[in-house]
Amino acid sequence: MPVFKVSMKIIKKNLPLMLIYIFIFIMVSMIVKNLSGEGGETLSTYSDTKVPIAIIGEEHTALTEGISNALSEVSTLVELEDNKEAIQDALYFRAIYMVVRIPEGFTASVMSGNPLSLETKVIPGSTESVQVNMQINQFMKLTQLYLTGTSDLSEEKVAELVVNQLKNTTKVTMVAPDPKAVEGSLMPFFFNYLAYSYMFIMILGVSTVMRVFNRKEIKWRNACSPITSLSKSLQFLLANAVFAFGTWGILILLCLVFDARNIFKVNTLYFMLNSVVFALSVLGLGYLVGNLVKGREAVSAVANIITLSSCFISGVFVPQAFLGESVLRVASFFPTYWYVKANQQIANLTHFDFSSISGILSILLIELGFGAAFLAVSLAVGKRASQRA
Amino acid sequence: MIVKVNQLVKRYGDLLALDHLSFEVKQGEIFGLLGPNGSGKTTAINCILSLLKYDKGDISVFDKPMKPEAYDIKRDIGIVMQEVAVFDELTVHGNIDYFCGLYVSDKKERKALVEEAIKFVGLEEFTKFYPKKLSGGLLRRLNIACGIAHKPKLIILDEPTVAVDPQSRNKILEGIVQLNKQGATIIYTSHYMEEVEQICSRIMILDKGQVIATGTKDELKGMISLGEKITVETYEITSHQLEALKGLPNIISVEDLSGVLTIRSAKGKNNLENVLETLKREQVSFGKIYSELPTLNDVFLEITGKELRD
Repeated sequence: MPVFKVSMKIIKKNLPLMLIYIFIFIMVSMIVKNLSGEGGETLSTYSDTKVPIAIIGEEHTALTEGISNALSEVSTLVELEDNKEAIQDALYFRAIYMVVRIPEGFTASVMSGNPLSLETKVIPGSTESVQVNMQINQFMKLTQLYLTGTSDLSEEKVAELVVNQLKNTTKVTMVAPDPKAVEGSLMPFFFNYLAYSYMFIMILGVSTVMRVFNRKEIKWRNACSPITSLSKSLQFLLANAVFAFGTWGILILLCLVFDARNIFKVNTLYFMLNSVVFALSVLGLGYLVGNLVKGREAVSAVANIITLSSCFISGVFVPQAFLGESVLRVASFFPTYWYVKANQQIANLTHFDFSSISGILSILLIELGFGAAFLAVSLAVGKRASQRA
Repeated sequence: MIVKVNQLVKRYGDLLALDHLSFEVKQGEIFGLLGPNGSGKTTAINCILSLLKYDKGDISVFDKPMKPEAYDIKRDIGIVMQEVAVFDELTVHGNIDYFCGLYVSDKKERKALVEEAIKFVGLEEFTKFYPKKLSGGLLRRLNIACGIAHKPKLIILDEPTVAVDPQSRNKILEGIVQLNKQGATIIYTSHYMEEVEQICSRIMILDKGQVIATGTKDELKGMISLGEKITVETYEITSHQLEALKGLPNIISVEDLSGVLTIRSAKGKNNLENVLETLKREQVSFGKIYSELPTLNDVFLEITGKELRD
């Protein structure tokens, strides 16, 4: 099989450039894995956290005691000297996140229906004290509600009722993730990012072999030989298939190694199926580029342009949700867009009956359609070129 | 008959590249196709190999009609194209092995053939070289090795010595004669008449897609009136002395070009002797004097009225 062997040798000659893209894939995967900590663990438990605050009371009544009790439900009360410097230091060093000052005459103002507001000081830009603020607002609203709705209530009784009311908590139960769903977001990322490296390697490899065999002298010299056109085409196809699936295998192996948790998930099989179909469409694209582009440097440049541009607009680097509608509309003319879209749907799959996967199957058909279209145009271009020769 | 071309017509749009071309190549011949650039030599070869479609005519090779799918015929043909057809990505050995592998699938047999071809073209020291590292002459030799490694019965060489140094050229020409002695029939195209004259047993001269003449070199030279060309380096010659030379028997023309006298004579005896005697008698001072038999260029010149090199 001389055509097969030479095709493989030509691909081997271009290995260094292709390995750069495998290396990029490995590096990016490692960075993403490290950035995502434990590999994108899903939150499975919930617990309240309390931030430290200080209450400075200029008067001490049953109502102000009630406020302290209410705030202690959502925060840890810290003793603090009523001194400007001490307060500033405590806030600056994050010893407390908020200071609540209860002004003198506060109880009387509340009981009369015109409450003085509580003065609060927080660390600028901090969000930790939001819950305390909400508790203060809630306390004031409930106090006014009881005083308006019920006559002859003492301040002790109002404070007791409001504090009891605020002690009511809502139980938070975390819904356990479906064991069938993909754990974390690493696997979808790896499979999406695979499109970039794989596309470049395939276009470069396939089109380089095509370019060499399409050189007029080589083409004519081969045409003089006793090997049939069919045999030549089959050997050529076999070489490209070995190259395509070899590269695919390496990248898939890397994906699985980087996120071993999902190896035995059904979703992973679908990810792999999607990537195989994508590989076929990219194979067609490689044929087309090989038929259209002449020159070694030109092939590399075109492979880069097609790969980068289609990956950028199709959501390989940035999720499709963040891309504009018009960008996605343009992207839909590339198989990469459909590949990423299918990956998104596969990542969310928990049921694998026909109605759940029918959308994915439609996308796979679209990807195959792209491959067939690329191949058809490539054959037409090749035929026209040989007629011109 | 190894090759038979009958009334072949090939057009490129309005240009008539081959005009009812007919010829035959017999077994054991080195058949030379001679003609200026654009005369139709390569087009004829490409039609014989079914690389080009033609408008009219018939071509048979080994007494079978030649077609693009005539793979049994192609098995016995070796082709050395005008443009070097090798892979830049393969070494010298890799290239010969590939092209030999198109014809010979047995690995052991192929290995021996490849080694033999490398030795034949003298590329033993360059087997691991890539084509880009080879000189023009060595590259041509590689091109030849790729075409002949499978030991074909018919070898077609299309201008294999273009842009080749004299050393490589001699090596190539010697090799072609050797291949012929080993039993291969050879079709050799060139626009270098000296090469064709040196190695070809039969020659066909082409011009504008038409056959001008066919025959052995002696037969071709016999077709023209010119028998001898005498060149004399003179210091000074008068019109009277020129007239005396022109008056000699068999003399066709006498030309004086900046002190170089070219005397063309028809076939006949004692032409040089007569010229020498006349020069002495007329007291013409001269330096070198030499006589040449007609070349194929003279044949071409007399038949077409233009130089072969034009």
